[in-house]
Amino acid sequence: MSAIQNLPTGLWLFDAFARLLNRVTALLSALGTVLILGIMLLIAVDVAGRFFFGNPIAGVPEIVAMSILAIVFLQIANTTAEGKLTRSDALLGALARRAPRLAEGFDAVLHGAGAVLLAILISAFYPQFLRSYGRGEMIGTVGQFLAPIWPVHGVVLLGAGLMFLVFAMRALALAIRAIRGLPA
Amino acid sequence: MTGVEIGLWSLAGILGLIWLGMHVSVALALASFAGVWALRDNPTYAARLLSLATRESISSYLFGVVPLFVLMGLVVSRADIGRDTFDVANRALGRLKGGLGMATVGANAIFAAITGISIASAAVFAKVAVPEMMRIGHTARFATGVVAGSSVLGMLIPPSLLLILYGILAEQSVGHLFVAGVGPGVVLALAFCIGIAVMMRLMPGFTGTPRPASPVAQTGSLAADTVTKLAPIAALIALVLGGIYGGVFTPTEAGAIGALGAIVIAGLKRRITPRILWQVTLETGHITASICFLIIAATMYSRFLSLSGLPAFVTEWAIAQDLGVTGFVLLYCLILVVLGTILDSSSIMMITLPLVLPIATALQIDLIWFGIVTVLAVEIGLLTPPLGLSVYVIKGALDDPSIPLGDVFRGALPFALIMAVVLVLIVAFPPIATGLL
Amino acid sequence: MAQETISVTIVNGHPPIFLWVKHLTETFIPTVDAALEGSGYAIDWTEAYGGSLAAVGGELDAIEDGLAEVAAIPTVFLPTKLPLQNVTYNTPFGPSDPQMVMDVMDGLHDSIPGMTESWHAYDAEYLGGGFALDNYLLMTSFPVNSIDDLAGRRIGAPGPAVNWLEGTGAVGVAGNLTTYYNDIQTGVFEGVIVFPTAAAPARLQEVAPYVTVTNFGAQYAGTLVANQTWMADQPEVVQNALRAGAEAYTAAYIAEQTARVAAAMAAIAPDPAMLHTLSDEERARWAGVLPDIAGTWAANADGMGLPGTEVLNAYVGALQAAGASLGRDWTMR
Ligand code: NA
Ligand code: NA
Repeated sequence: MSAIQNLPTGLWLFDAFARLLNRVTALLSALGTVLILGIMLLIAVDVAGRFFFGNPIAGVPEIVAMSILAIVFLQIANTTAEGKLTRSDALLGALARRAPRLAEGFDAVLHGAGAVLLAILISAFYPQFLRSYGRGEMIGTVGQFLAPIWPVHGVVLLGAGLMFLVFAMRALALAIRAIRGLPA
Repeated sequence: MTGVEIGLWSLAGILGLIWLGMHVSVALALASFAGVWALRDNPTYAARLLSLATRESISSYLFGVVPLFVLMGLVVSRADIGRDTFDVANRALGRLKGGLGMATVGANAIFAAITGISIASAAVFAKVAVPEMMRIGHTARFATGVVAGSSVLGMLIPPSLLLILYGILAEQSVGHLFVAGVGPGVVLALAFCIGIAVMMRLMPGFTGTPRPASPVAQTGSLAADTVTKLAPIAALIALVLGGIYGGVFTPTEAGAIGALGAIVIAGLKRRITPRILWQVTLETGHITASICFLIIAATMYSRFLSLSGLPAFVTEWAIAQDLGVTGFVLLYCLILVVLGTILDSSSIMMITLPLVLPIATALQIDLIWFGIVTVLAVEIGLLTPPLGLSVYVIKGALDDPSIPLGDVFRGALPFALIMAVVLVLIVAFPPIATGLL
Repeated sequence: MAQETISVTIVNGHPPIFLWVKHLTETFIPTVDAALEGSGYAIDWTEAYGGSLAAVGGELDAIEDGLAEVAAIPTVFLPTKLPLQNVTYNTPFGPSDPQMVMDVMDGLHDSIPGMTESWHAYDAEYLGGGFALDNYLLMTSFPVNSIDDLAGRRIGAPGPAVNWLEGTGAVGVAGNLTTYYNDIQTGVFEGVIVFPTAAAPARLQEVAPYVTVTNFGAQYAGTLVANQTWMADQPEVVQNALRAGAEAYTAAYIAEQTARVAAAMAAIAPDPAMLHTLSDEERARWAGVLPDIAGTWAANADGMGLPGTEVLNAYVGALQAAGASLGRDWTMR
């Protein structure tokens, strides 16, 4: 499937916003990439510290467990924008060969469904984020390691919000192209 | 409508939505939302259920290392370490029909001793083996099928996360389970190799016709070239296996050590630059996000399905049939395979085992053997649509629009059938599993 | 008389092979049902165990979100959300008898308003009783006669119990029961802190045959709660039935666990030569080298606006009054 910059509508402002959105998702994705390398080094140092120096790093299991949620939601909007979210494109592909505008119109509906899902998820997740932020909820063990949990929940919310925008923008772009015809 | 009926309808809905081209995770999550709404007549309840599953389902150390296993695979592939390995394999096995496919199975069996989760095997070999098999002329279907099929070895050959889970649920020795997994793992690997040879002969349209081993680029003498090409992968395997069995790190931590090891080895071979490492890690992130979002959605669906009562209904029905030992085990396997089409492996075990274990105990079934049978039957689900995690991981890792999802499922199908045959074999001849104990 | 049916979802993240889940089905629900007999009310139960609604540690979220009305909350996995309920893990070398720990903890919920109020922050209502884990001990792949044998050894322990190794010379590593067997077998850990009724089914004796009865003490691990808002809307007879269910659940749980401990000990230490019980002096020496775990914990809880120090003093006082054998008086600063 094509990335969002490959779905121009010919509407200048719309296309400019789509490009901006894509840049923002790419920026978040880069943060997620740094986090993956960071986790790799953290575990390696923990292993070395434990085995060679009898001195493991406290809190590594908690950090790794929480980081994966952050990594996924830092990457998910960009993954969606790049069209890398798993789907079966056999039917759409066949349709695109025969009636490209109908295919894009139908794909607009499918992306709209994604936007609806994310809207549902955000509506339920937002109060939970406020809760963990308001209470200053922590993970870890007193005397060993403590870290606040809300930044991770904030990342989930941010990632889900961007994913919603990506789905919505792609749905709109596909719909506009289906109605107006694909720009030359 | 009863819960069981809602559960069945949701299944039809998911199949339809995925076929129509909806993103798989979106289809699973939306079906779960609609299903819970229908069950509880409360959309807020349904949304909160999704929200809780989002926070919980991947937040564990185990999932935390998934990106690192993916990264290891991508680095091995990008630094041509995988290609070198397969060059050598092709040289050795090239004259054998389907030799490279068999080499992939063998390599997966070795890698299984490193990892405890099948999706790690699938992620690694999708990038390493599929391009190599396609390079010599195999079809995408066959190449991805071999990788999908052999990825299940990761759970059968120790260490294995599912055997640990079974050990806890059934109160059996994890050590004994691990020993019992070796025989079936080897039998399955052999069965895959035989299956590949048979497919090469009888289904050339499916497998494609590989070119005979062409004299690949060779530096220096044949022996020296072989050593140069095999040294990096041998070093990586030695590092990871040695580390795990030498007590330095756990199979979960092996993801980090393996990824770091692969980067260092690739760096020493001057095959990776910081720029390439960045690209590869970014790609790792995309694959991880896609897989993990799918796992979150699958968790939502398994929670909805539990709430509907469908899995418990089916299992209780099977128990009530009052068959003999063999009939009971075969029916149980059948149900696991059916549940495996739509649920993830650990959910299936958590749902069915508490219901089935008392019956198995009453029938005086050897619970170690029963565990191997359970895990193998559950793992067939990794290959079957609509929810086949190994297949999705391979599709995600390949990121090649010219290989449709349906092709990967079709390619995996013969291997799912081979697993079913081996399953029956182990049911018929328990010593395959228990012989080493 | 017309019958009104109330739908109740009951949740715990563990599967039903665990005793605290088993007795939800076998004791709690039947007791509640029996108590409602003839009251005009009946409960239609949905039992959600083994991660089918919430994962281990997610039960309190399920209660607060209204996804479940009743839950068995494993407080041991929520040390930062429910610090007060984790006082036992922060006062190691306490009594070995789970019944005594349970009675004292239940008493604290009665006598210190902050204990029950700490549940209200999560829209949860304390139903009483709960479950406690049997006396934690040490299982190792090498013999242990005193803490001097622990120098440099890597010992796996559940998160809060890593503190129990601080200062002993051992390397405490946070671990998880699910992988202990494997971790000891390969040598990542050379021993673990564990309780007998978990160690026996996991067959840890196969890889860690040396059992040292350290008497770390039985631990309060969780309790039954209901959603507070929902509970307030229920007729009194239903509220009372739920509390009666919790009381019967606690009694049945502890009775069966006590019956299992002897068999578990026989399973993990079949050979008396491999079983070593720490002397009172050695136990006190171990407790003495530990940092002020309880003081740090109490100060942290106080800082959260919870009666940490009050709970600590009341807990230790109640144990002393009950004549418990304590390895260290954790109220002494
Ligand atoms: Na394995
Ligand atoms: Na499947």
